[in-house]
Amino acid sequence: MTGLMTSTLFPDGVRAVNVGLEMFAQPLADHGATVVSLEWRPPAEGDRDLGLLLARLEDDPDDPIGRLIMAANATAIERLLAAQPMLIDVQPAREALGLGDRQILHSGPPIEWDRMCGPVKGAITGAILFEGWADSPEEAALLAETGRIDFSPCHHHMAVGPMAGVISPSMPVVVVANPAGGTRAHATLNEGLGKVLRFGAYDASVLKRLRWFGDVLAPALSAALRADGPLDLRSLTGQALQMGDEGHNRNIAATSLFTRTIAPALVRTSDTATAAAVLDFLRGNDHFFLNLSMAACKSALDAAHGIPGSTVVTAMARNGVDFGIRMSGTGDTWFTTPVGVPDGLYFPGYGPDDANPDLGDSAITETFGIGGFAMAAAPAIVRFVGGSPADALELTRLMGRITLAHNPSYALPPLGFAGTPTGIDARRVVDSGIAPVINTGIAHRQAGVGQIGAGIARAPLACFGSALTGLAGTLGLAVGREAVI
Amino acid sequence: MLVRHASLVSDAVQPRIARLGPRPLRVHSVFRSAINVATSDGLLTVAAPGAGGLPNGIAADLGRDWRMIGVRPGMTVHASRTAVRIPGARLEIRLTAADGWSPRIGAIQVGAAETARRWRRRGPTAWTIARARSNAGGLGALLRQDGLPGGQAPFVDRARPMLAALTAALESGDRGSAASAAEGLIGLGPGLTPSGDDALVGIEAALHALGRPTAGFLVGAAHDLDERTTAVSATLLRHAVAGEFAERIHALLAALLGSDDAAIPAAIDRAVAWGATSGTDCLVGVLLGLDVAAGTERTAR
Amino acid sequence: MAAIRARVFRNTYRDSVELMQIAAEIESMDGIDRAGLVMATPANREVLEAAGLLSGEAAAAGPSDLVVAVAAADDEVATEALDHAATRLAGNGSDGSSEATRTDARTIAEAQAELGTADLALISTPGTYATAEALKALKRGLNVFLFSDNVPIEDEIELKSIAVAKGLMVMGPDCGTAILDGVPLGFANSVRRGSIGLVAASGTGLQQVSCLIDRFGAGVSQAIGVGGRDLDERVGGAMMLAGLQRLAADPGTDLIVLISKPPAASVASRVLEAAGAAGKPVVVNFLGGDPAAVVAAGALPAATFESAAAIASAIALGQPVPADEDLAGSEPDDDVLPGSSEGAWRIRGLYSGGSLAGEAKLILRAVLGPDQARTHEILDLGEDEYTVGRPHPMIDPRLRNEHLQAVARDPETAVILLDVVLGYGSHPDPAGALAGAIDAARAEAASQQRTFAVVASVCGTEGDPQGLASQEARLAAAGVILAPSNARAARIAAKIARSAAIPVGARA
Repeated sequence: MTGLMTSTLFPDGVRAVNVGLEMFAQPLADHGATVVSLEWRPPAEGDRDLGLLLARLEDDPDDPIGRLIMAANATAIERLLAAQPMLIDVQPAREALGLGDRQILHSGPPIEWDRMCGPVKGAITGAILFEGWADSPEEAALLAETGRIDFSPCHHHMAVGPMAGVISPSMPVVVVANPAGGTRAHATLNEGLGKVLRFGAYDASVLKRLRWFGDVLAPALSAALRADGPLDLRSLTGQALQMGDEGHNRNIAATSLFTRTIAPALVRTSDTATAAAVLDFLRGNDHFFLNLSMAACKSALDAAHGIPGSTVVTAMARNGVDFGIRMSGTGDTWFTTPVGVPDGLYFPGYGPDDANPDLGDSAITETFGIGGFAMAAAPAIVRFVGGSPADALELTRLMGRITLAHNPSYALPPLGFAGTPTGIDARRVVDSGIAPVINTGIAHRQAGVGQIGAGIARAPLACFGSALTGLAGTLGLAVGREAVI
Repeated sequence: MLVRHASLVSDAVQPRIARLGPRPLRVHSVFRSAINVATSDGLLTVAAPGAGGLPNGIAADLGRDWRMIGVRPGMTVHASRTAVRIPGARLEIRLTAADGWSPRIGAIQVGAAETARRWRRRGPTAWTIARARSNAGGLGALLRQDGLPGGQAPFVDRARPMLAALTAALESGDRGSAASAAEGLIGLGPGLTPSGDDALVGIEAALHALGRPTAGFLVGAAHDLDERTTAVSATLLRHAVAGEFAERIHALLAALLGSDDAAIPAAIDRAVAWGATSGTDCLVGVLLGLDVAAGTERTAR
Repeated sequence: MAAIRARVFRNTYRDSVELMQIAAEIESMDGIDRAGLVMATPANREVLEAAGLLSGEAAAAGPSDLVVAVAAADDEVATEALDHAATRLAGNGSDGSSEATRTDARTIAEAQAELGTADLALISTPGTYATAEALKALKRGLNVFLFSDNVPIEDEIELKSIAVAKGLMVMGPDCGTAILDGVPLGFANSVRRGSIGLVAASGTGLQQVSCLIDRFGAGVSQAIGVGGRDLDERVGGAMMLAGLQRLAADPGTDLIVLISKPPAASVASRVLEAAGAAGKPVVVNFLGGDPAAVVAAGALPAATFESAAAIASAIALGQPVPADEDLAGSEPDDDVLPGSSEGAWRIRGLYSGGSLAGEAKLILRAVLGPDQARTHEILDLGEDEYTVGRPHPMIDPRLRNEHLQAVARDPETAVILLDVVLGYGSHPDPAGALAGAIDAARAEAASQQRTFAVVASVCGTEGDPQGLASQEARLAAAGVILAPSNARAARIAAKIARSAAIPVGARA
């Protein structure tokens, strides 16, 4: 009876993952096994307890927690991919967001006036002056200092804002609806470059532009949108990604497509002078689409937010002091850590000493898988942020390693029309140590100076670990250390 | 000892091993899927079966990346009729179970005139396909009109008149002039087998296939090869002089000269895919050689 | 100011695809006008010269040298480009090809996605992180070979209970070796495939039994290591039971060998009960355990690793099954025994394999009696106390060679008893390394008119990277008395010690 049958434990051949010493892989390969050696390093930056927690949160159909997380993430991804953001209107924040008197929104996680950075304080001063709640910057600052302004993050009001992200009741906001997810999201209108409120400038030219937004631009866009019907931002972004945009730092293609799309209705619904002024403004502002892009991303991510057990990250945002993330399974809790100055290239005359720590809600684009995640689409901006086209492809590939899906609506020609990587899994971030990449502008630390550079920031890993620890708390998992919530 | 069985051994290899006797040899170079062994008589190459038969070659499967199996340049190699052993890497490649394979391209005996006629008819089409499918690297630039890649332009500029002189000499049946025209092409151009060498091998293959009296003209140019080109290329040139070629050149010629017109595009695609520019360079040589051998008008070039 | 620079990389052979890639990368750099990456053949040197790209060093290069030449906007750019080329040429395997980039997976999840499916994780990270990796592997449906040590027993219990629930195996922690479907894992030998299935809580024990099976002409279907603590009461033999069950169900396994130190009574009864119900012959080697319980369970007891291998091989080959030889075994032939110096009486065992050292101790006790056996010394140099900050003696012979030198200087040393473990992961030439140390030690002793015996067994097969025959020949050439198994080596040592003249008062 000897040797009649060949013994097999692995009918398809041994297919092994080698974790640790490289020398163990070779004998397997020599004997016909398939083996992949990991580029292993201690997960969670060497934090054993967090690493173990991470393992306990791994997908596992046989374990209640593993099963819950798998299902929750599948739901989150389904909702992300189903999102179809439509631009439906432009309205004053008072109406769209229900913002009340003396209420001002800002970017990033919550923060008190005292801790706010220069550009945010400047923008708030500008907003107070714009609203007419004070007559001078000093008076405005006094209102803020004495607690007579109600501050809260944009993210708490279905809104996002670039840089300082300041929204006050009279400012017009774009209204983006995602019917598939039953969500709406909003953002201010982009002011262009130079002296602008989002970098903390508040002189007469800034306030004048804001008034023109309310009096002319917003009503004109609103009328055009009402006449022509909602504008499909998903398909517009998809096209722009094939034209060299990444939807965060480069928006020239999307802005052009937007302008081309809205122009006929604009001309039909506005008088000639208004239409000309609006088209002129759009022509001069390559970044106009950024705010639309952000609102679109927010509307998609909010649809995937609040699913118990899900480890999908639904917001990354900075207020110039703290970096914060929110994760679907941990609801509206922010997990924050101090934010640094992005690594980047500076305009002549400026350097890192002038830079404000990273700022703005615009990382919502990366959270949804465009911006830095879609760098492969935008080789043109890679040089601007100090890299080569090969780096761009590599960055997108790298981000694919921490996300759960690829978005087929956003195909990337340089990567064989693979979709952008989307659905950041906090577990994968902590496990691999690969931090999400964020394309970002660099603001001067003093209010009003404006943009002084651009670069690539990496989301701090600590937030993601805290979020997982927080999730473990919601799942009743014991963690070998104090929960950080 | 890791024992692997070779699947294919060139007929030219065994006599060479016999000639070399029991003296130890040395590993010359190691690539992802090939190992070259230096001998006093050129290189012996062990290559993955995917490369097909090589005139100086042994085909064996040694794994995914041969640079990782412990073989290093300079290691001692023992070659015998039955095995090639590299003790330092504890590697033994047994030859006993391998199929033999002849690298010789002999003249077509039957229907040579018909074959030449057929080439005169289809040659222009083959050139057109080659133009469309080849890459622009190496001598591929000669096929294409869309500009030369920056760094290679000087090599191509230099090769162009030499190839013209060579084909003219071959057309007039002047082996001596052909050899002196070929001299300048040896070792010329990018790649581990410089483009000029690949083209010369291709021309020789075509001349051998159509049985032209000029076949073997390279013998007059092939002196001091080791000083003039890389060791890999010198080995392949010596084999070409002897009428011995890689299996893929056999396949290319079979398609170009066979009865089925439809086989040509795929054969050209496959040829262009060898190495970086070697395939295209060799293809250029084969096409030039066939034109010369079949007496095609030199208008298409 | 334009700069022309060239650098020569001597005897550099890269395939053309790679060279073209590097050339393209350089040409795409800012400020690079032209670049050439060619072998420095005379023809190419001429072209470079004509193009103004040939500098002094390149002019002297030859056809086996790679020359990289650039015309750049300035010196800095040129240097940067050449440095880039140097970096790319220096990396072995960092050639940007698809296969190379495939290996940058950092997590099991990524690697699993790369492989499509995976069924096994080999984990050899520091123990602190090993549990998390093993847990992730199990959750993703992978069997685990856990080489790492210093994994808390609580973690082992948890991992193994998850594995049992999922029908997976956790081999380890501190599992040195396994052979699954003929594929060696960890420190395994190249053993003939056959019909004998092994499950072992002892790494070198598994190696010794599998190598002897190979030596006896039989072969191994599967060799499953379970880690030294598997038969601890708290772990309950979870994986030995699971392994036994797998092999019982495996149509390619005709009989099973279990190898362990004697387990806790409750665990032993559970394992023996399962062995009795396996439906196949089961040979049980509970080293130093009571054979009666094994017999009672309907299994075949084996006192030594060799005996286990001999019984199993005979069954597998359809030969008459030998009786189990007890630890003392039969007395070795007299003619192999050398004399020893005046005053030398002591056995000094210097072991690299823990289970082999354990077996030697038991055999000395059986042959010499417990009182005498205690006066000899068997060291397991793989123990933590010796290996702190030093490589394991199976990988690096220096630790043992130092001990060897020291015991050889002791005039009481009559016999040095050694194990030599071959296989994957072991030192490439352990016999050669030992032979050198033995020669030196002997020479030193001879200068003092002393001599001592060296007795060794080589645990390995002809198919091992080191080769059994050549390793044995190397030791024989150094005057080492060779035994085919560790048990026999220990008995020879005992016999030499017994026949040595023992000075009065030298014993405890």
